[in-house]
Amino acid sequence: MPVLAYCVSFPLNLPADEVGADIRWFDSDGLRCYYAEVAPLANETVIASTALQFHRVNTAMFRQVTILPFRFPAISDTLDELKNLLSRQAANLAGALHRLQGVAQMEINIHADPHAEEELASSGTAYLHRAQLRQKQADEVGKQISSAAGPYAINWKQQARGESLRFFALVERGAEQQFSQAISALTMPKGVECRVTGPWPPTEFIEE
Amino acid sequence: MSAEPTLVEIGAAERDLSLVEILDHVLNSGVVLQGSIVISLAGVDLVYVGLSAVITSIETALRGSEKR
Repeated sequence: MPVLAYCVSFPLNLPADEVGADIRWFDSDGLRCYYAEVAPLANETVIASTALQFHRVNTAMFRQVTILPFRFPAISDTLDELKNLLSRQAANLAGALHRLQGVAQMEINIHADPHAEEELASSGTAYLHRAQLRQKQADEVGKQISSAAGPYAINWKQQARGESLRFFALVERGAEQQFSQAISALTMPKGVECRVTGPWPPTEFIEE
Repeated sequence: MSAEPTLVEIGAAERDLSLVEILDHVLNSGVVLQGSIVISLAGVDLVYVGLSAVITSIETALRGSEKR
């Protein structure tokens, strides 16, 4: 039966109600890998409910221990195949787990308010103005964020994605609330929205 | 330890982390298990497109189950 890999952690005994009844695990190369047998992902409804379950299980485990989730859907035909695939990456994953113990990832998503975009688009030089404004605002917001949340962030990454700008911050477990509050206290430029989510497993920092 | 991932919004109405955001996260972040074969990279894109179409109905179903 196909197996869906959830995440890896160091071997620790978690309460069964945190892991979930259908979730199994095996230890290999100093790692514990959590997985579940899955029926073929036959349609979008099954895929979506499986993805939600994947998120819930990983979130529950991340409350207890540092984990590195797999990107959904990491499916192997058999358990042996999963073990074989994991073994090839075990050294890198163990190194990342060591490095990322006790930290969480907070995410900041900055994007333009669509209503402000409409206002800008009504002018004759809409495109140029919009591009210039976006860049200027992104620079301003980036400086504000790094200044406000810098004391709580161990590491930062920035990523442009479509029309939005994302910041990923690595923070100590327990400092997530302070981080969010520091960002919440900022005043965004007109037409810019900023959202903070987390804590997430530190997936953006797996690669050094 | 911290609670489930939450959302803080500035400049917009506060709301919970949406299903779309959760699905976006599980599909776009995490360790890539090199060699997992059932769904190819192109397949994942198709999965994502397909998911968008059913998100609304799932959210409705979840709300319904919470009320019961």
